[in-house]
Amino acid sequence: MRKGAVTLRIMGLIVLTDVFESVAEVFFKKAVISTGMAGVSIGELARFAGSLLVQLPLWYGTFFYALNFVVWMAVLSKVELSVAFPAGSVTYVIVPLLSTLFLHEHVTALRWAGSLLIVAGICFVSRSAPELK
Amino acid sequence: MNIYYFFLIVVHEGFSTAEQVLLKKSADALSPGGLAGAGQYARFFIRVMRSPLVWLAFLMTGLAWLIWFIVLSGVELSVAMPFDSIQYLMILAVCRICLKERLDVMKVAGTLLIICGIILVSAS
Repeated sequence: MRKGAVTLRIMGLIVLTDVFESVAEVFFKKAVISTGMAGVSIGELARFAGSLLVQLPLWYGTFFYALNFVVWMAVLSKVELSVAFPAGSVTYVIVPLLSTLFLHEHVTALRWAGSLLIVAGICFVSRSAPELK
Repeated sequence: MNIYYFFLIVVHEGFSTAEQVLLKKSADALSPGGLAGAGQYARFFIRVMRSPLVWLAFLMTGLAWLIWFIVLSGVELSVAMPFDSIQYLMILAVCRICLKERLDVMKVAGTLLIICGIILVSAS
């Protein structure tokens, strides 16, 4: 096996970090909504931060971020950041795919085109010559 | 979306990019010769949690989130997403400058394709 190459196992781990990160993101959005503050200015920053800290969803989100962190560190110990980071965009493809398969949502042609470009980009990036250690 | 949020998105990306570089530097420094087996991974994570560099990265994460939350308080996610994809370029730059990773045509072209893809996905 070439050192630094993106194997199927590493791609699986990257997808896993994406899932954890997406779940964290949803909880974070919930936490922001529950503060009841909209269009926060720099002057309101301290009050906004304080009000975020007491929102339960913020801590659920942090938990999922911690899971994401553990897997991500394992990924980074194996591959270059300039390969792992772009490969993380596979989430933009998985979400529309899952919405069609399980939620029977209509996914527009433009969205499929975008997903295809992303897949092509990930293939390019992961085929780039790995660093020799 | 006005310039205020665009500025915040860029600042958010800066913090988030710094976080990634610090994590990558830590992962490399703390896993000499690569990792194999559960025992090695467990010892790796003990070293990770004791590394000042990793805690600096957590500070960057906190700042990146805080700024991102302000963005989300005023802008729809689908509006913010295309601008957020600028971070892919930042990552390429710091990988070259700070981590001395090799950038070849495949990597750069692939990253540009991904950015175009994200813009299309979020436009639809």
